Amino acid sequence: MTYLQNRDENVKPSLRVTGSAAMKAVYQLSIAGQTLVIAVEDILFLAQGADVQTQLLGAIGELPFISFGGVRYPVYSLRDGFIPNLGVTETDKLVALLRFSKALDDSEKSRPSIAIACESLQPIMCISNPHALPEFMVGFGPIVGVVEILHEPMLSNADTPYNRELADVSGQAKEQELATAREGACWLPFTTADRLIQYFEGALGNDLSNTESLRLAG
Amino acid sequence: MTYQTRNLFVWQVDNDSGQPMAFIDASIQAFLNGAELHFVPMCEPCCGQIVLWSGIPIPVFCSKQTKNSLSTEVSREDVLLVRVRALGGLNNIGIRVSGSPKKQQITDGSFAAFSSEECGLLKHCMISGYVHEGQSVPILDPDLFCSREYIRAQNRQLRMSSSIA
Repeated sequence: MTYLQNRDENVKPSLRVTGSAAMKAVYQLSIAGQTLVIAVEDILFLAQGADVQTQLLGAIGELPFISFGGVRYPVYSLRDGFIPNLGVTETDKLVALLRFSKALDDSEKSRPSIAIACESLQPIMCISNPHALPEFMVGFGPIVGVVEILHEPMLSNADTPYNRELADVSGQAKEQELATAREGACWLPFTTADRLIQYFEGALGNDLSNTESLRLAG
Repeated sequence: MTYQTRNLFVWQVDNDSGQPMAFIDASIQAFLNGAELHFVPMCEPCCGQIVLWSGIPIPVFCSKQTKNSLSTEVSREDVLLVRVRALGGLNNIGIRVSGSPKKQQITDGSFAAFSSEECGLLKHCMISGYVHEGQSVPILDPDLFCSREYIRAQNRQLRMSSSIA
């Protein structure tokens, strides 16, 4: 398997620019024709769509998966209208393994739970903290809020270190830099690994519990 | 015994479908002429846009299908910001309107002829109503826009109108 990125968990992705506002590296995820933003720490690693394998599994039939650290993780995707599906779609080129914040077993260490296919994934800079949207607005959908991001990605590809330091400039210059950045900013929907997993659990509850046996088999 | 309501004023405005509605003075926060609305995908269809107010994204309700379909799309609409009673930290919501709100004085007689049956889905958000130029106008409680009952009914109507179109 070819990993596009395998992060060092000790590296902090956050960049503090001013006392009141933070510029932070996040991932812009293109999925089912839409753009989502997700925190860097919510994605454990990326694989290519071609790395997805399949295994025959009892009641489910052919189950697509990727292997990581000796464990197999089921691969899910979203089609137009954000309808959850097993496997990858024709337009999906990457597979992102999500980091689940809650432990799935008795061990204290958190571990990733599912992988999600996407068309592209790009590191970008957000210039605001995520703003949560009220429950009556998001309903049971896969997003939790919105975040203000720069139109032009500051980091051009996945190989660029996401923790790149901004130039060491004075506080006033940083304020100016942030103000300039805001002029070309837009708001994008923000999600988390937990919310995406919840969304899949809601739609494919039985399938997800069945795929636990896949991990054990791996 | 009769009660005088000589000083009862409301703000009347048409929603984006052209239906009249009214709010009491205390409900009104601001009127945003040609506000920039950002589309948020995967939200409830009747509440799938936000407007920035003092740097905070505020949910905006609509009663007419929006043409947006991508998270990067932005449109300009008139929005009435109304106060809600702190729903999960939220103090305001936006409602897409056509034109600016106008102050109306309500007289005693205008309450009696009011009929909620003429108010369509706005009857889910209504606390009272009056008749203006022969038309029933509901006086609305902004908090009721956020109720499951209204959102479900409005979504159903949007789906029906889009399938007919």
